[in-house]
Parts: sequence; structure tokens; C-alpha cells
Amino acid sequence: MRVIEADNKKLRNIYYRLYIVMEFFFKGLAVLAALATSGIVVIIGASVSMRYFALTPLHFTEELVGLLMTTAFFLALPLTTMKMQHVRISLLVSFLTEDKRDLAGKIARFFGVLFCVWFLILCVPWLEFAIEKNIKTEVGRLIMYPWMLILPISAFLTLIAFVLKKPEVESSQNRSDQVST
Amino acid sequence: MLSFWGILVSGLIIFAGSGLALGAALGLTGLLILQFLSNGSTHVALDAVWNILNSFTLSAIPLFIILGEIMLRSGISQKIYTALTPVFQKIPGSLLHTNIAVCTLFGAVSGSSLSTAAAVGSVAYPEMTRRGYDKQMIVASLAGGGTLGLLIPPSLSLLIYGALTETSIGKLFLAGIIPGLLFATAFMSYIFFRCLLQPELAPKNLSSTCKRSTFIKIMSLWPFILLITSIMASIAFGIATPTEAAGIGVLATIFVGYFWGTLTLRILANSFFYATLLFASILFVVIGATILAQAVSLLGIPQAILEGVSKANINPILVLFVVVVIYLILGCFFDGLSLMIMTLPIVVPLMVGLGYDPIWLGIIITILIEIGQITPPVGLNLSVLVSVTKESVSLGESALAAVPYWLILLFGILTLAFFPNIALFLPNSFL
Repeated sequence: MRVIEADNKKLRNIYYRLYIVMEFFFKGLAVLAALATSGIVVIIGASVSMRYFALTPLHFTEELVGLLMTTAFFLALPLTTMKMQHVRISLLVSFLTEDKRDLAGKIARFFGVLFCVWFLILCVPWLEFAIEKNIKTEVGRLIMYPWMLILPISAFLTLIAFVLKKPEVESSQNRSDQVST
Repeated sequence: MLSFWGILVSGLIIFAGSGLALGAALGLTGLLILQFLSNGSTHVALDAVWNILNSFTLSAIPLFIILGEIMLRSGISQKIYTALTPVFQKIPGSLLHTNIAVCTLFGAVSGSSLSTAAAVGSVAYPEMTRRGYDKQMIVASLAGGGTLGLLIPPSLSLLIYGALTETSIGKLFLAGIIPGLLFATAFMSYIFFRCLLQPELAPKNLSSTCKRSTFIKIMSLWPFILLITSIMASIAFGIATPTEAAGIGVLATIFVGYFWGTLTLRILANSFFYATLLFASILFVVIGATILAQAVSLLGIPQAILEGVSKANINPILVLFVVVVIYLILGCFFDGLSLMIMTLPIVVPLMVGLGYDPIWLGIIITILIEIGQITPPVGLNLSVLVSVTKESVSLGESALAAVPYWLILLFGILTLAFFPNIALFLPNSFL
């Protein structure tokens, strides 16, 4: 009995450490995402200045801004998922008892993983095609596959974020924790 | 058609009802529809997601969120509130009018209803309770005033509406100005008459402020006014796209926040970090809705509904009435932006097909989701304000107190339905 308890404690410790490491990693990615958004501001500032003061607009601004926004979103997604800061409908779940709420949380996590797996599967041939054809943006001729690579990587990390969520955090989640506008 | 509605409704109930992130719930439902009703053409979902994410127009969203975050964190909202406090001192309702005025001004830069309510609420509530104002009245004025953040440009909902329906964002922004200002006036009129009848709701301030010092205080807002004017004018006169205006707005806000507010490098970094997380949570819903919209449009659902409505010879006014009722009901359960994003793929083609102007429709939908923001149980403006009051006002009490604002917004829809030019006058005149 003591051996089983010790094993459980050890497993819990490993899980906790894994959670902390992944949280740290996801925070690092979110910092990169914030840098990407600040990059958008800088590029737009530069583009407008070049257009009005140097009369030579940056022709790749729109494409680069779009790519940076995509990158920022997918880099921030794992941390947003892990911290449960997504918009959710918690109305039905709030009517459940504590036990059933935990079960609903597990089911929700399973659906989250399912979505990520499906998204990941769709990404593979899509990315292969982009690499094979060396697809570039229309105006700026920026190579796209390094940017596209962020999608499957983020889908995989978000999958981990869905799996790693702390159940007790999930069950006590209330409406005010939701992020919305 | 039946199988489509079956998958759509059951998918949304099961996935979203389990508490799954709404974006994933919408996306999964869309993928299921594509897989089973559209010959397994799930690959189109990824192209749709990539295209929407790389939209230059949509990239204005993170920028306006950053702008609002910097405003919130650098003490600018406090400065605006202090400057406007003496303006309404002599009028019945006093600081309650200040709430509406500050929400209107803050809405002109933040683009978000929730951050407007939170920013103004955190400054106004402690001060007003100290002065003996009725707590429910304060919360209701802030909840109502906060809704102006979504209508007065720049507005996140109008941005998303424009990007997803390929409608001119500049025109949408211009169309939001007059209705937004009219709502602010209507809210103030309600406060005026209510406080005239029940003076105990808003105690009179006996200290007198000379007109000169009031004028100086208002004039001290010039950096902020300049910021609003530059954002609005650059979009309205076609000097910059909404994204460019937002980008320059962020740079200007950093400048204003540094010299006029209390912005530091740490606050700036935090603003970018938290704005990015907020943006990710919003964009996840957009992505899920994009996948669903792709499935809906591939199956030609809006066209089928439109044909059905045309064949049944249903009056377009009746269809508008049904749409309004559906939004009011769904607004009780969904967050405003999510509701809008989810319903656009069906509602916009249907209503535009019936002859409604897409710009006017954008304003109507925005007002409808504003109503949702102050409708319990999900009304997020109410929730955030209840937490600002540290639950000294309950959600039920604040919802009840917000009923007059709810009715004013609903009356506004009716007015716009009969006089669409209230919204369309500015875009038709300028663009």
C-alpha cells in the first residue's frame, strides 16, 4: 500500500514538474508572440513614414503584417489554452455538481485534443505542398513555409496544453475568468 | 438540410456545452459538417483559416487591443475622469453623466465594451460610492456606458464584421459615430430625469468650481483628444487604412502615455503581453467560426434559407424582427463577439439578400450584441462590474438596474430600422 502511495506521489511530482516546465516554455512562446505584435506596430509605423516622408512605400507591409499576426496568434495559443483564457460557454457546466463538472472538464479536454489532432492531420499535406512548390507571397515574394510551419507546431503544443490542464483549476473556473470583450 | 441543422445544433450543444474553448467547439462542428456533408473536403478549412489570419484588415484587432491596454495601464483613464468630473457637477445626476461621457471618450480609442466598462468602472466606482451615490445606479451607468465602446469607432465588432463580410471598415466606423453619440445622449437624458425625480440617487456636490478651472481641466485633455481625432480623421478621410491608423494610434498612445500618463517600459511590455493573450483568445473564436462559415457556405445554406424566405413571401421587416429576437435570446447565453462571429455566415447573406444595407446591418448587429453585454446570465459588462464592486452589488441587482439602458438600446434599433440614414448619413457623405 505504501509503495503504491509513494509511486502516486512520485507520479504527481513528475506531472507537476512537467506542468511547470511546459508553462515556462509556453510563457516564453507568448513573449515571442508579444514581440511579433510589437513588430507589427514597428512595421506599420515604418511603412506609413516611408509612404508619407520618403515617398517609397514598403511593398511587403501588408503581407508581413499578416504573417506576423498569424505567428503571434499561434505562439500565444498554447499559453492561452493552458491558462484557460479562451472564450467558453460555462453556463451548462455551472449547473453541474462538482464531480460531474470534473467529468465535463475531462470531456472538454478530450474534444480539445480531438480538434488539435484533426487540425494537425490537415496541416501535414498542406505544409508538404507549400514546401514542395516553394510557395511565396504574391507581392513581397516572401517564402511562406517557415511561417506555415508554426501551425502544426502550435497545434501540437496546444494539444499538450489541453492535456496538461489542472483539473482543480478547471472545476473552479467561473464566468469572470473568461476573456472576452 | 435537416442533417446540416442536426450536426450544427448537436455539435454546438455537445462541444460548447462541455465547456470546451468556443473556437475549438465551432471548428470541430465545422470540420464534422465538412467531413460528413461535404464529401470529406476538410482541407478547405485550413486554407480558409490561413487566408483569414493573413488578412491585413484583421491585423487591426491586436493593435486596437494593445491601444486599449496601454490606456488602461498607464493611468490615462484616471486623468480623463478627473478632468471631466467638474463638467456635470451642477446637473442632476452629476458624476453619473461623467461616467457616460468618459465611456464615450474611452470607447473612441479602446474598441472594446468590456475594457471600457472595466477601465472607467475601476476609477469611478470607489470615488462615487465614497460620495454616497446609489451603487446600483453607478453600476448600471457604467454597464450602459461601457456598451458604447463597441459602437463608437474604433470598434472591434465593426472591425471583425467588416473583415468577415468584406464590408468597408471606414464606412462602418463612420456609421457608428452618430448612433453612438445618440445613445450617449439618451443615456444621459435618462440619468437626468431619473435623478430629477429621485435626487437621493446622486447627491449634489456643494463645492463650487469656477468655469475657468473647468475649462482648463478640459483643455488638459488635448493629447487624448488629438489622439482620437487623428485616428478617426485618418480613417474617415482615407489617409490611412484602419490597420495603419491603429498602428500609428499605438505609437501615439505610447507617446501620450509616457509624457501625459504613468507609462513605463514594464507597463508597456505588460500591455503588449496581455493584449496578445486577449487577442489570441478572440482570434481562436474567429478561426473556429471561419471553419464553420466555410462549411456553411460550401453547402449553400444562406442561399437555401434566402430562397425559402423568398418563396414563402415573408416580409423583410418580419425577418428582421425574427433576427433581432434570436440575437436577444442568444445574447443571454453567448459573449457578444462570439455570437456575432458565429452568426454572420448565415445572417449577413440572408439580410443583404433581402435588400438590407450591409453597413446599416453591421451597426444593428453591434447594438444587438451590446444588449447581450448587459443581459444576464452571461452579460460580461455586468460580470466585470460586479467584480469591480467586490460583489457589493449582485449580478441580479445590476441587471435589474441596467434594464433602462437595455430598453434604450432596443429603442435605438427600432429608430434605426425606421430611420436608417441616422447610421448611413456619415458614410454616404464622406466615403
